[in-house]
Amino acid sequence: MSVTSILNEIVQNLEQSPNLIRIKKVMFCACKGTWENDRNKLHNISVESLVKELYWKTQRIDKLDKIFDKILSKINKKTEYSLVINTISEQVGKLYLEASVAKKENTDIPWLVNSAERMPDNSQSRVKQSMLTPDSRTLFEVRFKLMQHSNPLKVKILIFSAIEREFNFSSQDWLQLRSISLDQLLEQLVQTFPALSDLESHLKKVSSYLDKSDEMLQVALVILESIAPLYKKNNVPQVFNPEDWKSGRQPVADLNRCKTSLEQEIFQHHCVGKAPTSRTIYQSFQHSNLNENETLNLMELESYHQFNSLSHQDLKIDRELEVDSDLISSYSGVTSDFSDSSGQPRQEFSDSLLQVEPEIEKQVNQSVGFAISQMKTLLKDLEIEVESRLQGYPLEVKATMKHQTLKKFISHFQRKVVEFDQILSHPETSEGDVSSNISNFETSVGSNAHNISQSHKQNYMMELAQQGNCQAITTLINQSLNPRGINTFTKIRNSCLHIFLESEPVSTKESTAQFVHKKLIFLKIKSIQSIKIYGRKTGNKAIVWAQEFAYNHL
Amino acid sequence: MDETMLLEQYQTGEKNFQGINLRNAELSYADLIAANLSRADLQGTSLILAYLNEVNFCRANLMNAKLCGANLNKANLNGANLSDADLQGAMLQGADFRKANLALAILIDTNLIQADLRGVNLQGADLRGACLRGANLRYERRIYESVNLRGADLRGTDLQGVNLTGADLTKANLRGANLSEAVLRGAILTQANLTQANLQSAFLTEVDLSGANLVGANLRKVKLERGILTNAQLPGVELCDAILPDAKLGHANLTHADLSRVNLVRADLTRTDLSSAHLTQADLTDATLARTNLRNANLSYAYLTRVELSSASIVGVQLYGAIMPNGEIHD
Repeated sequence: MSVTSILNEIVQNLEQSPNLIRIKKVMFCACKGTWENDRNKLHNISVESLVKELYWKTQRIDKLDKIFDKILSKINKKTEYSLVINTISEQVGKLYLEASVAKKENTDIPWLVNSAERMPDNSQSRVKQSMLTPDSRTLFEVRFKLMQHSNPLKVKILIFSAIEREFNFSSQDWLQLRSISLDQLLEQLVQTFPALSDLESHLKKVSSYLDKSDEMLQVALVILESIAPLYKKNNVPQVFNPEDWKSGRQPVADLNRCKTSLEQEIFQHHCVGKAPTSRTIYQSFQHSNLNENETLNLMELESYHQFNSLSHQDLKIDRELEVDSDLISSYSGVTSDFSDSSGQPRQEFSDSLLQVEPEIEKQVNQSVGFAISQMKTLLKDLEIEVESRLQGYPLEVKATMKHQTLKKFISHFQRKVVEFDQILSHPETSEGDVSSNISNFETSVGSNAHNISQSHKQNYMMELAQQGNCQAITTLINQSLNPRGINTFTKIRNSCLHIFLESEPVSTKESTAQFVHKKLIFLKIKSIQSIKIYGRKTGNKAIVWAQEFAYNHL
Repeated sequence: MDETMLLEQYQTGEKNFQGINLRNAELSYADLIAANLSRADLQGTSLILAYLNEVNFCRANLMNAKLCGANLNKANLNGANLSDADLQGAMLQGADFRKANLALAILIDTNLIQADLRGVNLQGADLRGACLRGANLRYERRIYESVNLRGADLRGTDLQGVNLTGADLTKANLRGANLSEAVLRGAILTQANLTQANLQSAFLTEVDLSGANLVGANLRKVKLERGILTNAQLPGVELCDAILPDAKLGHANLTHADLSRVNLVRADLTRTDLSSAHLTQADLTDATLARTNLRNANLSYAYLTRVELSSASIVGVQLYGAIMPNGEIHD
């Protein structure tokens, strides 16, 4: 069956659904990032275009699911929409399965030519697919181990807090916890964190933030220990393997191709020498992409654009590089669509960027190390090549030729590096955007942050709060108090933190003040020695009660 | 007596609170380890994440109680009434539930490892994702009635190696449950949902699976002597190396099932649908095959000694190397 016919079938099935408007709403939101309520506008959009766009945007079914999860977490009428989303993913999901089969059979997908079906990570996506459904036997073993060593409910609460939002023991949260099984939570956890190290750091952070953090930390350790089999079985080493370069599409064959002159040979070497470096950058981004999900897209986008323009300059050099730049241009096309869609996701990307920084730095260091080692081998190869070319020539000639060749290589390379640098200096302005976004986010993050990237924000926010940032403190307190109808304002004066709690009716002094105090002790805010908490009626300046605490961050 | 008094007295070292009345009390996160609360009335009491290890709840009334995440390891719940109680994620390892009433209780993701559940009433209970390895649910004549699990939700429940002899699992939902090596001797599983359940090497002697749904289940190496599988849905099921002598498979749907090396001696296959099934090296000696549908089935190297095949539909059957009713080897 060809893909187009499947597409038609999917479109037909979706159009026949009684929930067509809702389906369109959800798909529109998944594609454009905004919620559309205008019926006429929705009516004018064809399901087919939405399905296509969605496919282009997601490429992998797990990404699709993640986007849907995100949407579902933000909207009302969850039960109705979860049904709608089920139908969509059931229908659109066919496309992905079909596409993976098609990939295996090397058949062309008519309307997907030039898309990321040639993405180098399709093997990895297949691995991820299998990871999504860890085989039931291992899951049973994991659960058995978990249950023996810790409290199943605490495990559920911790995982829930790690992938959804902080569990606050409200009846709604209880219901939600009851509806989702430990198995599902474990599966989602593995899905969300493809690398065990990420999971470890995230769980530890979350557990330190929750109530009774030492107990939760213990739970986190048990989870990490028990969940390991799910990773061992499915995870492939994600670090880029230099061996890949020596096999497959490597320059060995290309080297023999043009033997006309030494000059050409050197030129070839030179460009091959560059290819791995640039490709490594690409690969390393690919890697971090896997770790940090789509939150990295903005960063990727920029680097892809740079790399894209850069590789276009060198198009004449090598067919291999052409393939690369093709891939990248297609990918950057997809990502640019995504980030242009609306301000909201863009801002989220930039927020989480800050958490990602150390990881990227690590990646950069690794990439540089790899590039240098590649350079060394290339130089050595070059030397050997020259040596073999000049067999029979006197020694001095050989030596000078070698010297010249290597120097040429290095100077060529240097020039290219300078070009890199120049291109890099351009988007500096857009980095200014990022920082302005951050200041925006401090004020705006709040009620609708119920998604996975929230935890990243949370960590960042906690850091800010620890440094004594009022807005971050406000946001953190509001997260717990807003659901109870309490609004918070904070002020820092003379190393005293003033907190105003506004509500209708006025909250009880003891419980609320205690709660806020506990929360603040947890934050370990520097530069503060005392806390004053005031309660007042909404819209009324008069303070009903006040409570003072000494604050010693230990 | 109210909850603060209880906790105060417990602090002073008092452990005996037999028969106290603490309905709808708030005792979440309480620490009452090894207290004696036998015959206490704790209906509707909240004991969320409480520490209740080794507590004696013998014949206590815990109806509607909230015991989410409570630690009840080695607690004595002998004859307790836990109907409609919420025990989500509770730790009940090695707890004694003999003759307890757990009807409609919520036991999602609970740890019931090595719990004693003999004679328990779990009718309609929600046991999704619970772990019952090493638990005892055995029927003992004149002492413990068979466990009542009628209509219970056992989706994804881990019952590996569990003794469920004589248990009543009528209409229970066992989708995706782990029942490998479980003992279900004489258990009643009529109309139960066993789709995608793992029953590998389970003991299903004399089990009643009539009308059960076993689509996608793993039944390799099961022992199903004298089992009743009438009207059961088994299309595409893996039954290889299973032992089914004297089993009743009338009207069962076994299309595309893998029945290689299966022992079906004296089995009743009247009106069974075995079309396109794999029956290589299967032993069908003395089996009844009246009106059996064997269309396109693979019966190569099968034993068909004394089988009456005249009323069976055998269009497209492969019989290479099979031992035919008359003792000849088909070629």
